[in-house]
Amino acid sequence: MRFGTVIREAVSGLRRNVAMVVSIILVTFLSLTFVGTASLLQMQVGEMKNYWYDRAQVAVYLCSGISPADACPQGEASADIKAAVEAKLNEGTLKPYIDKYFFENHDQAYQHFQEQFKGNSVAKYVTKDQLNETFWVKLKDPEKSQIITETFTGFAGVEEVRDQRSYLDQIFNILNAASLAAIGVAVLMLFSSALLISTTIRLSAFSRRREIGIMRLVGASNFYIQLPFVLEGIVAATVGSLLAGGAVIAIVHFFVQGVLAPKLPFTNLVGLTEGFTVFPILVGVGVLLAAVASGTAIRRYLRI
Amino acid sequence: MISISHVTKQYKGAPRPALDDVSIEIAKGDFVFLVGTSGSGKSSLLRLMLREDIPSTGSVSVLGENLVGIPLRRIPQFRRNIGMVFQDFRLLPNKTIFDNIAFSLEVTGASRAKIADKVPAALRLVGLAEKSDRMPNELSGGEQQRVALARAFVDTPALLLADEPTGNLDPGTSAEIMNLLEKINAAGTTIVMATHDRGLVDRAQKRVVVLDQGKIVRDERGAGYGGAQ
Repeated sequence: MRFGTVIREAVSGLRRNVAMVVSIILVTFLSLTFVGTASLLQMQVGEMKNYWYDRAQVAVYLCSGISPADACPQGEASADIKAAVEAKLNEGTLKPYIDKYFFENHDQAYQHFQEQFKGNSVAKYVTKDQLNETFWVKLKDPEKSQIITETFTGFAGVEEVRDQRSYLDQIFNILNAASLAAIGVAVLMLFSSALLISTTIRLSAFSRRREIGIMRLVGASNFYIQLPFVLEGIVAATVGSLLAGGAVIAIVHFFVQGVLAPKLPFTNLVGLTEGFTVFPILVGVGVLLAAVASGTAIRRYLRI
Repeated sequence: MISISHVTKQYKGAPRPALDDVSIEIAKGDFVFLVGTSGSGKSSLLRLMLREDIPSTGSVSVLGENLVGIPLRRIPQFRRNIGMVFQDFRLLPNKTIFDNIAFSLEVTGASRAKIADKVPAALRLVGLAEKSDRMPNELSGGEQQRVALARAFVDTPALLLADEPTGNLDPGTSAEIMNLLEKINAAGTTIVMATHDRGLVDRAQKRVVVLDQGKIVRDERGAGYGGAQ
C-alpha cells in the first residue's frame, strides 16, 4: 500500500470535481451550522430552565378585601389567619421540604407591583388593599410543590396557591418545541447532505470508471480503489464542518455575547465554552457522515 | 496452469449459452490462440479466466486457484499474477507512459526501488525507453499497444491474457506485437490470445483452439487458422 499514491488519487479527484466538492462543503456547512445552533438552543433552554426553576416559588395568596366570596367568605385575612398559615409552614410535616419563606404585606406587594408595571396605566389605578398579602415559599425541591398546594388549598383565609413553575413550564414547552423542531430540520438536512455526498462520490467514481476498471485489472485491492473516494468525501465534509464549527463559534461570540448579552443582562446565555463543546461534535459528525456515506456509495458502485 | 471443465455460461436473456460445455487444459509455457467469429465465446472464456465472471455450471481453475469458489477479497491478489491486454489498449490518458506502467505496480504496493527498476526494463523490452515521459495520446496505436504489453508484463506474470491485441493495428505493427508476445512467451509466461488475425495465426504455428457458437470445434497444436498445413 503506497499512501502517497492514494493521496494523489484523492487530490486529483477533488480537483476534477470542484463544483461537486464545493456543493458538499456548502451543504455540510449549512446543515452542521444548523445542527450546532439547534444544540446551542437546547443548551440555552436547559440553562434557563435551571436558572428560573431555581428561582421559582410557590405563592400562597391570602384573602384580600376584594377576594371573591366563595374562596374567602370571611373577607380580608386576619392576623390570626396569617399566624395559622405561618404555623403550618413551620410544622414538622412541611418544614423538611421548605428552603425558606417570607411574608409580603400590602405595602411590599404594592411596591413590587409598581416596579413591575412601571409606566403601565394599570399601576395608577391599583390600590394597596387590592393586592394580596402573600407567603412566598421556596422549596428545597421545586418538583414537590404539590405538598404546599394540597396543604393550603381550601385553608381558611387562603385565596389561592400557585406554583410559579406552571407559568415557566408553558414558556419552556414552547422554547423546547422550537429547539426540537430545529433539531428535526437539522437531521433532515444531515440526511440530505449524506445523500448528496454519496451521489457526488458515485459521480466521481463514474467519471473515473476507466481508471477503476484498469486498477481492478491490475489487481488493486478494493480498499486501495475505494480509499481515494472515501478520502475525497471526508476532506470535503471536514472543510464544511470546520466552517460550520467556526460559524457556530462566531454566532456565539458576535451575536449571543455581542448583541444579546448586553440586552438581556439577567439571563445566563450560552458562551464560548458551549461553543467549543459543540465544535468537535460538529466536526466528528461531519467526518463520520462523509465516511459512511461515501464508503457505502463506493462499495455499492464497485461490487465485483 | 489453466483447467476448464464442462463450463457453460448462459447470460440472462440470451437465446443460447455463450459457452456450451467447454473443456480445455492449458499447460505452463503454452501459447494458445483462441479463434472464432464474433460471438463465438472467445471473450467470455477470457473473462472467466480473469475471474471477471463466473460460469453458470462447470469449473474454472487458473494458477491453482478455483475461480468459482474464490472469495471476493482474494480476487485482486489473484489478478496480480495475470497480465491482460486489450484491443483498445486501456491506458490511462492523464498519466505518462512511465506512470501508466508504474501504476500497475503501485496498486500492488510495490516499493519505489522496484518501480524504478522494473518499469524502464519493461519499456526497453517493448522498445519505448526513450518515450517514457510522453502521454498516451502522443503515441501511435502500435506504440500504445506496446505500452499496454509492457504494463501487462512488468511484474512478469505467470499468465498473459490478450483479447484481440492486434485488432486495431496494421499488419506490420501486428507482427511487432506478435514478436513481443513470442519473446514474453519464450521467457516462460503462458499466453492465451483471442484473435481474428488469420495471417498472424498462420505464421505463428502455435496451438489453435477454435470456438464456434460457444463450443470448441477444434484444438490443434502447430496449426494455422484454418487447420494444420
